[in-house]
Amino acid sequence: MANDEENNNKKPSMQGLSFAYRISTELLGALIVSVVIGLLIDKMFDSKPIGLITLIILGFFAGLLNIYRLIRRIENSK
Amino acid sequence: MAKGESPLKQFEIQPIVDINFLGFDISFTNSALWMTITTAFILIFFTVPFLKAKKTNSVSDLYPTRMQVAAELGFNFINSLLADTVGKEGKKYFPLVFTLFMFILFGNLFGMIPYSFTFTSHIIVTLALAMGVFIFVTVLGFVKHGVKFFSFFVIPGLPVYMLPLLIPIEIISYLSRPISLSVRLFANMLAGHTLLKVFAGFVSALGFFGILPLVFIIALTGLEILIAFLQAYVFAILTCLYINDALHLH
Repeated sequence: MANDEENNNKKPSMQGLSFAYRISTELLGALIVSVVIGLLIDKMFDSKPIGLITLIILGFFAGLLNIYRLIRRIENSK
Repeated sequence: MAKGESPLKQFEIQPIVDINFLGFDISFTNSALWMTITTAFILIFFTVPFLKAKKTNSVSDLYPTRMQVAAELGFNFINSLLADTVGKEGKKYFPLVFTLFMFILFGNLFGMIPYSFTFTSHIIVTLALAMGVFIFVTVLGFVKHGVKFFSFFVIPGLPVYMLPLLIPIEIISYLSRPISLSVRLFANMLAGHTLLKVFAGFVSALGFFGILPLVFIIALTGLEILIAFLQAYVFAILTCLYINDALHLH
C-alpha cells in the first residue's frame, strides 16, 4: 500500500475506534433479529413463549459469535 | 434553543411541499431537502475541480488545485480501503462503497451545521441504506456461487451433530448484519445530537455558570465531527467486508 506517513500513523487509532463502535452493536443487532423471528414463529405456530425463549438464547449465542469473529479479526490485524 | 423546547425537536420531520401521490404521502420534507443538498454538494465537489483542470492549458495546471487534492484524498481513501479488505476484485465495487461513504459522511457533517437536519439520525434512512447493502451482498453471493452460497452458513471442519444448532445461529448472525449496521449509525447520530442540545439547554439555564457547559459543548462538537467521520468509515469498511465474504466464502 502506497500511503504517506501521516496516513500510516492515523490508521491504527481509527481502526481501534471503529472496532469499539462495532462491538457495542453486534450483540444488540443479533438480539433484535432473534426476538423478531421468535415472535413471528410464536404467531405462526401459536406456541407463545417457547419460540421466543429459544430464539433469544440462539440470538445471544449469535451475538457472541459476531463479537468473537470481530475480536479474532482485531488479533489478526495486529 | 428556545426555553422549554425539547432536545428531540430537531429530529422532527416537517413537510416543505405537500405532495400526495395515489393516496401516499410523498411530501418533500426537510429530510429530503438535506439529502438533496448532500447529493448536490457531492456532485459539485467531485466534478467542478476536474472540469476546470480540463479547460485551461497552462503550466500551472500541472499542479492540482486544493479542491482536486481534497477530492482525490477521498477517492484514494476508499480505494485503499477496498484494496486492503477485498483485494483486486474489489475494484468493481468501488462506486457502491464510495457513494455510500460520501453520502453518509456529508450527511453527518451537514448535520453538524446549526439549524440543519441530520437525516442519518432516522432509523428508516439508515435501515434503507443497510438493507440495500444486505440485499446487494446476498444477491452477489448467489450470482457468484449459486447454491454453494448456502455453505456460507456451515463452518468447515465441524462435527455433523453440531450443525442443527450452529446453522440457526449462523443464519441469525447473518440476518443481524443490516440491523447492527443501521442501528449503529442511527444511534450514534441520535445520541450525539441529543446530547449537544441537552447541554445547550444548560447554558441558558445556568446563567453565568453556563460557561462550563459551553466549554463542554465545544469539545463535544469536535467529538461529534470525529464520530460523523468514523461512522461513515465503519459503514464503508463493513460494506467492503460483506462484499469480501460474498466473493470468497470463509
